Amino acid sequence: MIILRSIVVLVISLVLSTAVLSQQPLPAKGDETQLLAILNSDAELFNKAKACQRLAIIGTSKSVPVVAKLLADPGLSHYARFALEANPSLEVDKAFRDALGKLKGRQLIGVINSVATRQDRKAVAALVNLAAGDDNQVAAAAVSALGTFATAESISAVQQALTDKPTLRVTAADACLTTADRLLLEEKNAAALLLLAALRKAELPKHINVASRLGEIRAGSQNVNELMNSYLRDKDLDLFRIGLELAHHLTDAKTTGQLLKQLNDLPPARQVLLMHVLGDRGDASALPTVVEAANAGQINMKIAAIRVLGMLGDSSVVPTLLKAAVSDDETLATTASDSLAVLGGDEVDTQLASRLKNSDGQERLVLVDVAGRRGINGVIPLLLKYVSSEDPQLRNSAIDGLGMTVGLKDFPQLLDQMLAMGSSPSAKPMKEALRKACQRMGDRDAASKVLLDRMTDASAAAQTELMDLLIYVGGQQALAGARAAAEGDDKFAADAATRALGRWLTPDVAPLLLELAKSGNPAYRVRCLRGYIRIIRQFGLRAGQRLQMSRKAFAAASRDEERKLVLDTLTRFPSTQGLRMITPHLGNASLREDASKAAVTIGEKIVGNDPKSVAGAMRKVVAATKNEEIVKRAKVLIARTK
Amino acid sequence: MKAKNRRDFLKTSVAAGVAIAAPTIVSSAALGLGRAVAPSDRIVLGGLGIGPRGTVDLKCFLKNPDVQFVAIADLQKTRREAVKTLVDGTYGNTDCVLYQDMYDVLAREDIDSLLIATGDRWHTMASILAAKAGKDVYCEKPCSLTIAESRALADAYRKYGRVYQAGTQRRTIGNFEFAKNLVRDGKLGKLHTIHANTRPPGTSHHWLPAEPEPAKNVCDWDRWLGACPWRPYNSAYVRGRWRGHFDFHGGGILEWGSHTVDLCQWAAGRDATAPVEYDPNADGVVCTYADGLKLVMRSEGWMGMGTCSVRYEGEDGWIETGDSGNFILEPASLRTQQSVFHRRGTDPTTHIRNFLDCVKTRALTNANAAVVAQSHVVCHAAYIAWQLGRKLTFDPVKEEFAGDEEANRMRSRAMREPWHV
Repeated sequence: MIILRSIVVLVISLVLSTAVLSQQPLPAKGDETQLLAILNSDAELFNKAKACQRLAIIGTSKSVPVVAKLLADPGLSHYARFALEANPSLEVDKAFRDALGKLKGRQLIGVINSVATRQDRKAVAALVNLAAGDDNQVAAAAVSALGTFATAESISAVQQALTDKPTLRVTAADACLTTADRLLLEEKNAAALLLLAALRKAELPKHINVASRLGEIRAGSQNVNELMNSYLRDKDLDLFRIGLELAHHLTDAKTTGQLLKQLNDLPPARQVLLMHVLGDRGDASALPTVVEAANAGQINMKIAAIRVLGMLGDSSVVPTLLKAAVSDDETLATTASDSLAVLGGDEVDTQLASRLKNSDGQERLVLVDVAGRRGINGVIPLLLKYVSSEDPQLRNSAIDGLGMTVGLKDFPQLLDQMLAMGSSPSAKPMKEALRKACQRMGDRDAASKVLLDRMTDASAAAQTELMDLLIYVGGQQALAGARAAAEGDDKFAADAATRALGRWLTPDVAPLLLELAKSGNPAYRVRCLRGYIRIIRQFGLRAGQRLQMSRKAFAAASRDEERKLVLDTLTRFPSTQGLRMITPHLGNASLREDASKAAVTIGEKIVGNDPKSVAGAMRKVVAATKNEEIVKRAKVLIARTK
Repeated sequence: MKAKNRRDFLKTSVAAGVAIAAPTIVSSAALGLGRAVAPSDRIVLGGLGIGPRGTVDLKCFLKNPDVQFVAIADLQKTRREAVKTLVDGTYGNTDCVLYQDMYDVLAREDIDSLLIATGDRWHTMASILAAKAGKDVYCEKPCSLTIAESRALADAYRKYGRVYQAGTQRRTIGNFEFAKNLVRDGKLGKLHTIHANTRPPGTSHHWLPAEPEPAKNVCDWDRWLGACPWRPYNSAYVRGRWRGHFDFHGGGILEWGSHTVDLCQWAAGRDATAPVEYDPNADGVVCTYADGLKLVMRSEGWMGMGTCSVRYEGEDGWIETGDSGNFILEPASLRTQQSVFHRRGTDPTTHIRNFLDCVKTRALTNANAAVVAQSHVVCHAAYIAWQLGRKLTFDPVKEEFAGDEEANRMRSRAMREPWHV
């Protein structure tokens, strides 16, 4: 009677979980006895399924006879294996072996797969028989399973399948590869080699031949360098690709020499690929050959070599890269510029800066771009000069470069130039450059001071620009400066500062925004409050903190627009506490509909965790809202909590 | 002789990847890009299960002139037809072939590579079947639903020597690489804590109410389920509401951790190992590596750098960055070293290019099977600790929990017949 009662309770709890979105970490509750009672009862499939999934974690030998009975049940066979496969009891192996002789079709295949997973060697003989049977799908499963064992008996059976049964050949080949992989992991390389060599010689799809060759290489079959050379020369693309793979893995200088020897003898398309591999290998001894190809190769080879020069080269390749960078071929030129931007070596920056002084035309444009991308400080005076150039391309390129090079020393000058530009076409790139510079300022306080000093007597537009840059400097001094401007008498400065604070990049601005929303300049209170709500919505705050801030925002709001924003914000981070915060506003005529919608949205997300609170809130929603759709959703939620 | 275990092979391949890897941010003029490519030199691509995220990937693939997309297999009629419309519209022809059964695509010898963007439950199985069919694979994340699947994935790609790239594209995005380099170059000092932005971990074990199964050519429910336990059909699942259900989904740690835990492992140079201790809390899990380095998985308390944020803390400084491309770092002196990054963390463009380059040169991809299998193992181990609600100790070499049989049993799930990996 007690057991029966416990089954009823357990089944009820399981049925409930079909109706609500549960966050229960494990599949079902109850101890092994209770779960087995469910399996022995007329409980519904769901309850038996969840019982099996729970038994997978806690089942002992006691559960084996009960669960094993289900292996023949098409609807529960998999769930039974779910419970048994993970159970370490030796009784499970015995049950599976028994089932191998009794089951057919899909259920038998499932048990074969489970036997392989459990690596029950006592089942190998039975698997060998099944592999030789008439049911092709069962035989394929058995061959695959045998592949995982790597015993003499299993290897023999797999090899037999490979030669005797054309319909199983590919499956058997895969099983051979699995066995060989296992033998290699166990350092039984000679046995693996035998298996793989036989596989390579068999008539099989090409990719299996490739896999067996790769396996042989792992097993240490031959002189790998010789093999690499031979594959790279082979007309067969798949073998050539093995050669490339080996070229990646053999990292010694001897291999580099061999690859360079091969390079000229290959067809053009393969030369290009090998050139890229030389770059990947990172061995600078290939450099002379790469330079030669960059200067004299056909166009695709040239492009490849120019890319590789960026990876292997040093200052000696700057002239080659510069020449390519001014080429009419757009891809070649772009590749060369990219290589110049990443080229290593101590002398590269000095050489590029020196070349820039004496260059003009396209080369100057390239050098300005590259100097900016490399962040070469030595070119700043030239870049500052080019900012005034009449050539718009040079001017904008210099401005862009300054963004990545300028430091605190030249920051004021650049800033003043930007402010003097007003609304000229160069003002936009200059502002972008300064934004980048502000992001890079190491001494935030000093950079903030430069910006804040210029606020005094600046035009309204300039104050906006200065405050906008202050956002990207960030830090305490910047925040203090923005605060002073927001609270000051200069209305333009206050306007600019409150705009900037509303877009601040870090959540440390939140207390100031709330303060300004509550007691700052009345003209900007709404703006500051919206900025504060943005922090709640966009930043990954801790749950409690977010709720607390939402309460404060709601309390500070003087208009329904912002109150509605807070209600919507709560739906983004659904919680019982958020729901509780919303429900009092269901009685407020001006907020009723938004509060109802927010409550339902939250309810739908948390009903599994807290059905009681959701049910209570939804009843209030039904009474409050005039929106039929919301009523419908609320009623569905109420039903789900019953 | 010392026994060689799986990890020894893993070490080999990871070490090789680190030693010879090309710059992860490939230039716009990398192999084949920006020039006309003869049809015979194009990578012939097929697709398996392309929905919303897969479409983002596919559009990026289609921008590469050295790619020719030829066929899509999808169990859902509407989805496969949408892919055909997109592909044919791009190429100005009607050549994209529709299949319902993925085996038809796998059997096509002209197809070199596959984009796999099915639901999570199919990622491992489809990727392994593709390797067995000789295809190179770009597969959306997460790559596996269990520790056992993770290992099977890495094993298959080692066995067949195919190219695999997981859709964890943040490994090929500038701001995340910049942050990793700060750590690797020692600019933050000795690393003590790394933080991975994860989602709330829980999943559900309930079933949605049964609905009549559609015709097989509209949606083959048995195949949709694949290796997952059978349950009655409900159209919400196939519309995307499979997420959050334990049988189909690895929970919030895996959902974002497949990106962010992976980034943490990468930055900290832990691509071939895993934490040894997992201590769950309501929001996530705090993990500890053998040398004391902490890995904090949490959904709360981030600084607003965007989704999938990571934070690396050393004795001399810290950096936090995310999908916005922005970052905050201390000391401020490190700011002078930064570049400005404009590519969002969700953009797979450069990651897909890295895959295509590796298909051609047979180099290891940035998110190859060995490294992502390892980071997924970390996510799965953490989720097991969270489900059990207790601290667990883990052996990263044996991939076993010490003294906790229940946890060990949760490392795999029996697959529904006839599927196996």
